[in-house]
Amino acid sequence: MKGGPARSPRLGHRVLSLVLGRGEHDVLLGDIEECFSGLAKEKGEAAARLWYWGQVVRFLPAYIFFSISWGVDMFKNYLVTSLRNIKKHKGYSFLNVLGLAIGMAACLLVLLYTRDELSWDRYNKNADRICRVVFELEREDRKMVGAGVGAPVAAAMIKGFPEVEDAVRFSEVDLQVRCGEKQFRESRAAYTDPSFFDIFSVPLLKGDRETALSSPKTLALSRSTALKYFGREDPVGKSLQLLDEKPEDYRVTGVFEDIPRASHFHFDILISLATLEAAGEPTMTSWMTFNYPTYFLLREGASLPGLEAKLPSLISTHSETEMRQLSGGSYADFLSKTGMKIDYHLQPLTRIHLYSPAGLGDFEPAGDIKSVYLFATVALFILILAAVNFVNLSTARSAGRAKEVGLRKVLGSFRGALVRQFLVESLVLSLMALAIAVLIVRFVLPVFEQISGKELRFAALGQPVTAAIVMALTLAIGLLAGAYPAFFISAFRPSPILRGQLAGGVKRGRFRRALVVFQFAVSVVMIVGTFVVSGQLRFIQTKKLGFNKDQVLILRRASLLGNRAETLKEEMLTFPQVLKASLSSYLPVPSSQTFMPVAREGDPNPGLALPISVWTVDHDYLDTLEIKIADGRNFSRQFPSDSQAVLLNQAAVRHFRFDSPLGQTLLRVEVGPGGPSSRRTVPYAVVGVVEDFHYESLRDVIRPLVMTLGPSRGNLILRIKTDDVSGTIGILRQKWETLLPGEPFEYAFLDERFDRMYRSELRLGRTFGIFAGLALFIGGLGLFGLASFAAIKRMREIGVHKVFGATVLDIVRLLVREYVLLVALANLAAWPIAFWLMSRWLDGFAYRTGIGWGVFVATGALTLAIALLTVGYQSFKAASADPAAVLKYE
Amino acid sequence: MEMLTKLEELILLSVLRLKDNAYGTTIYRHIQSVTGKNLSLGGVYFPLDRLARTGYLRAYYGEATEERRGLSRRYYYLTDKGIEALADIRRVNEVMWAGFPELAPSEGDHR
Repeated sequence: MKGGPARSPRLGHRVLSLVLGRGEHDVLLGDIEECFSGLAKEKGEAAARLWYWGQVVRFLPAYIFFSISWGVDMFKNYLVTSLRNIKKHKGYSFLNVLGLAIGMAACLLVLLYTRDELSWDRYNKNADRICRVVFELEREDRKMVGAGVGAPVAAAMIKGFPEVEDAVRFSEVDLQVRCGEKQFRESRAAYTDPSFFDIFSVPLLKGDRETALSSPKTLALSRSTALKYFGREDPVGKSLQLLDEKPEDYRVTGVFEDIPRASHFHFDILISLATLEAAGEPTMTSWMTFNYPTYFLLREGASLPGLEAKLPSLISTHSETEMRQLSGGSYADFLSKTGMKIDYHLQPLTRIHLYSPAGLGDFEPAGDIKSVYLFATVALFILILAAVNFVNLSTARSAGRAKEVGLRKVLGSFRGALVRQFLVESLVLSLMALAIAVLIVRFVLPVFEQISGKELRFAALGQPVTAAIVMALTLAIGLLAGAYPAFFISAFRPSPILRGQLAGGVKRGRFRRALVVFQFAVSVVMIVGTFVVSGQLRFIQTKKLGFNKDQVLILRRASLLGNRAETLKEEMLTFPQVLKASLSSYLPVPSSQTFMPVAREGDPNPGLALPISVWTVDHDYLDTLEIKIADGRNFSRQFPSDSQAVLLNQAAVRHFRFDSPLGQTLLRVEVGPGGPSSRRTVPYAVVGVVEDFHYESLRDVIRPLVMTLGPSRGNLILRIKTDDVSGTIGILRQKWETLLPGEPFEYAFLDERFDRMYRSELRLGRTFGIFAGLALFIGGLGLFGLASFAAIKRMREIGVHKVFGATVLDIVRLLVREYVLLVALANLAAWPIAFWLMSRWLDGFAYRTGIGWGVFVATGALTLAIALLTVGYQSFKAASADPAAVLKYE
Repeated sequence: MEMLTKLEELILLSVLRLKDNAYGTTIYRHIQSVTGKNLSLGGVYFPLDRLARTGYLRAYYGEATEERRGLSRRYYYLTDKGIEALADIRRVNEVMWAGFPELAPSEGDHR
């Protein structure tokens, strides 16, 4: 340039080149430069620079607009090409899409499940401001948790702490309700405060919010319960009869909307807590009980931890006063003597469903964050497997597409355009997979509901947030899964490909082999998991429990019969189908947990002894359940003194450190009919020891148990003959209905109760099983695809082998060997991981099976068999081809 | 008629007027001087590109000068389709504009 050339700003030039990319838009860059130097000559360099920067800034919107309008055109082109490609390779596309669809379906199901679990109790407008009190009681090695405090805590909290806006207490009851002719049992009922309707977003449909549930002997019904008793009539002002010890009338003061499904309680009947207060219920004034689940509504911005810190001192101060009034001693003394530690926490409402500690005893069985994690992890792995498959198959097929790519490149296609073409194709495939996945979900939802043990709604997939997550996930998978083949294939150099040489080589093969190993390793872990879980379940089923749980029929609520229960028991024994009969409120698996302080003789303060399980049984209990006597004797009618006798289990003998338990004396503090003032210490003689039996889950060690003799008529327990079970039930029902007309007849089998206790393990076993099957299926699909490509690629090699006299078997062996090695490697890699994971799971059981070698051998055999089947079929096909046809065009 | 944007119409007309010297810079400067607007070069370049792709214009590469940092020019000329499109626009415009004497351009105000 002449006379000191004006140079455009270098930075501006760099920015433009960067945005536009060199090559495609060089002309424009040149034009800008030319304009710049023209302007510099006419108006001076400063003006030209200003103009230049203006261009740079204004350039971007124009470019974006351009790219979009251009992109739509190109996208159409990509799309058409993609569809053409997919159609051309139907079999391959089908395998690829199916694998991905299965992975996605698993993910969708788990997404539905997770979102549902996380939505629990969110229907409450104030969900984030509601919390409840949870106590933790620790004594020696035993820990107890529960959601409840003394009744006065609620009012004291509102009064004492400004951050508490409101509070509501509950006390669950099991009711018999009569209304005219109709009589029902209502087990979803509770006493509560009127503030229930202010704190929880449960709308009151009828009745006055000010007065509903405020006075004694009033109640509110859910909409469907009101319908059940009163039909279309307005129930407000009418009355229902609650059949307690004596029937009493309660006035209906409100009807509330049925509580949403995703709630941790579902009450049908709410009774005013004022009823208990008016009746002088002693626990209503005590600070030292844990009877009332209490929920607080906090003020906006209140600190939960801050409030939590103040709670223990509030309760202990008041307990102190109460303790002094009761016994004259101090609360601290009581705690130190009993070795008890009490802790209080505030649990946010939204954490109740998933994060409640086990054994809390909530209104309803809660969910568990662990199973959410488990499902999510497993589904994620399946999805990864499917995506790996996708990558693997696409890359393998690059062999077939190499020529296309080479040609496109020769014809001047930019690499970017090729990459985009492949990405679009993989997006199209993943969208197809999504459509199939949604269909799969539609059909397997009922099965999954059974596995997960919860109700899910297919329509929830249409919720905006869920749909957005699903779409984003699909696009991400499409892009990620397409990225590797896209960049890999587009990097082919055209000339060798067109000459018929395949690019790639060792490096590419290694990557794909690594993917196969990964896939099979995941499958192996899941299969081992399935074996171990089902092995433990089998162990539980066949473990000698120390009693016979089979063929035991239980009549519930026999206590309603009063002393006629004994008559019924004798009557039932006259039937030949009934072998043994016993009356007791206490049943094993899961046991009715009743803990009472029991002390050794000579204990100065037997009331403060460590509480252990105490069951009240009759003479026939041990015989009926076939519990064996280890030492001494059973209760006997020949010893009238047995009313002051006890049986121990062997754990209890160890607990009391008895060398020779027979003849020893134990002390119990009993409260007579005269109330707390009539407390007295009663001695019991040990007359026998029963063998330890698993009255609780096999997760726990057997705990000490004491049995006393006495009337306890909660259940009539019958050991029956195997034949004609339904006939026996029929007889029992008939007797029940003549004795107590109108009472619902409820029965159960002991082994069903037992099975129900292991429902979560059963669920885990099934989940593992199904997902392991899926993983294996996807892995098999991938292997099938890979092997078929390998066979095609090595067609000429095979042909040459055959010409030189190799048999079909030789060739199959040659082709299969590589994959068998990969699967074997996957097994070796996965075994330690599976062993470690499953050992940890088994640690949760006090009584458990080991993980034997058989599990691993079986897993290895299974995976190898699948690999052999898929690869073998392909190889056999390739090996039986006519070599002449293959080698012809050489 | 084909519906072209005003800018596209102006670009086609510029190419027609600039004859053998129609390339990015000249087209841009011509449109800027006629309209008096401070356009973005990119805003001209992309429609230009699209017109070439859709067949109204055809392009050929020309010389590269130092002034352009060694990047070559791309010259444009109108195709038959482009000429037809302009004729079309003209015809429609005349029909649409006919009979409004008050909108007639005053002396010395043309182009």
